[in-house]
Amino acid sequence: MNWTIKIILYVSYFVALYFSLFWFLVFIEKKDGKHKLPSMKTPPNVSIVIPAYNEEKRVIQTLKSALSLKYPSDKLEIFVVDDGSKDDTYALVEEFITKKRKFPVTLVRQKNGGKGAAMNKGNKFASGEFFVCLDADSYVTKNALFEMLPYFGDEKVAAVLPVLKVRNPKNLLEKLQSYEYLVNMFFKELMGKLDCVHVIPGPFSIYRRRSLLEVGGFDENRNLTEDLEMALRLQKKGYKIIQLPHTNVTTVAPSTLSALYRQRNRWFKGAVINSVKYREMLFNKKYGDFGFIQMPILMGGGVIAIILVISFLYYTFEPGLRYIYNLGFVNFDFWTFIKTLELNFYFLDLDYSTILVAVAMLAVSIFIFIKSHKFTREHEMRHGLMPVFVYMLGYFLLLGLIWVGVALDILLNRQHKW
Amino acid sequence: MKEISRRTYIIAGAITAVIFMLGVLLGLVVEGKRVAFVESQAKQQSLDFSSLQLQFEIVNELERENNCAALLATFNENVESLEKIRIRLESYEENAAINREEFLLLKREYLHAQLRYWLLAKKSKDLCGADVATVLYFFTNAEECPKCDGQAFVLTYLKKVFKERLLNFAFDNTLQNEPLLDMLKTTYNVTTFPSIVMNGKTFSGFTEKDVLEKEICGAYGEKPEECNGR
Repeated sequence: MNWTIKIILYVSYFVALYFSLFWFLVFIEKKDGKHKLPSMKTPPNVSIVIPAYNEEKRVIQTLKSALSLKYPSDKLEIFVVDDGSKDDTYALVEEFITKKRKFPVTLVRQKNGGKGAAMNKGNKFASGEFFVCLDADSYVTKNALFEMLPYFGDEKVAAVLPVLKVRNPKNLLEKLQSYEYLVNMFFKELMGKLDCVHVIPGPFSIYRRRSLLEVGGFDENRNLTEDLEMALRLQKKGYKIIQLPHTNVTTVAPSTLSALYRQRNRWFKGAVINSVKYREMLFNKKYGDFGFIQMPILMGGGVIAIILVISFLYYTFEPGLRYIYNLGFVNFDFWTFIKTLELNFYFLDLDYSTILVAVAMLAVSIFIFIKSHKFTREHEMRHGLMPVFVYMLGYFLLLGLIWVGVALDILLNRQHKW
Repeated sequence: MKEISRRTYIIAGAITAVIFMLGVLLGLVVEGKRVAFVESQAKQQSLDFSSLQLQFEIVNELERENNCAALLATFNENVESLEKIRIRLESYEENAAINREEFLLLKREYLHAQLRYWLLAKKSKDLCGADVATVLYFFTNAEECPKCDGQAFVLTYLKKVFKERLLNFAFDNTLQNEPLLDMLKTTYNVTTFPSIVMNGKTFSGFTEKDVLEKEICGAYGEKPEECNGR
């Protein structure tokens, strides 16, 4: 193997292992932050905004979920912002409001301007002390506001995030994402210990409206990941973002590979573009751990993922593909090889250095997988053994391949299709 | 100003470095074991060769031609085993970090062994009337010879087809300063890679399976059934 490739590979293994061990250490070293949890004798005013674009299938259910929240109705206002939908979203919500006049729901319509613009539109009408974003494909538990709002006792806290889970995962892809979401929640909790949360997902994240207005609201410039951009802006301003281990919010996950690709392509691309936009935070002492661990991950994680996935695929499949290619020289007479097949393996043939690093990484991954489930109070085997096996050994490949697609899009300057 | 968890960064770096150093150390230990393994195999090969050579001498001296069948079977086994270790040795040498010189010396040793067996093959034809075809295969590294891998595959295939009636001897041109190799190359006018020498003819560049099959079949006095129609 060429030495340059060898060095690139070993540096990638080193960095990947370093990040895994870093978060492992954060888990065992850092104690949970003590958040001030004042009692809520007088519940504050809360504004919930549901941005909806072509969500006729789900928006009513989401609206019902928001209306089922246990919270004084005079302290709650709900805005559905129809972002210029081409389907019946507007008509359906209008009909729902007409039928149920007693609920505090307002329907707002705007020309299609993206999620950021829709949320800002809702924010203009909002009057609550706290602003909640609820994506139109997400569903919230009844006690969410009472469980989450006390964490704003610390004035530096600008956003509090619930545990995001996949709603009713049925097929394998949805089950794999359900694991991934839990692992992400666990990681975000660890990030929270270092004040490094880098994204405020759309499903029922609560903002202190004052902080939101102070940083200028959401990016309306068709930002691919306005939730990540907002987190970066709040971090830059020195605010805290808290990831809770409880309060479940469920969201619909893509059920097909193409839908997953489109979603992740947007997320990953958005992460790259926004981290480049805020590159002055990279290794900047002023931003603490966020600049030293989160920014490098945001900016370079994709590159490491691409190197690891390409090297894995190359070393796994190249010999087989070469074998098939060579079979062409002997008219694909596979039978002769089968007839004379013999095992020619000796234990010294294995690459033990790579195996050691791979085993260390796999051990950390298994540990994180188990802890993530404990953290979110889910059972590891709830979908059986097979999805766990596929997740542990194959899901990173899928994400890595999406990263390859993102890299190609960026290198070829392809415009993102919404 | 936000906090920086210096201690965690340092400890994570130290543990990662330790795991990597363990990996490197393990790699070096394994490499040392590989050298020792190939050396012991070389000794074994050398003994096997001496034994076989002596057996041929005895057959010659005592005119015990009825022992030829068993002798030829052993001869074939030894050549096959030699080839397997040679391939393994190549892979070990390619991945070697610090023992490259040792592996190169061992490669030379194996080259000598190949030549000895090649010469003995000639002797076996005279003494035992062995009806075998011999192929001398000259190759070099993949960067300089992208078609060598395919050519080796074809020869492996032919070995599986003709079994003990085909003897393949592979010579690696990356072995520098090996006069024996230069002598062979000059004798058979080998200037490009891959090259194959059979029945005194040199085939330069990639040689198709059908061409080689025809040539192999042409070398037999009594053609095996695999040669039907050729």
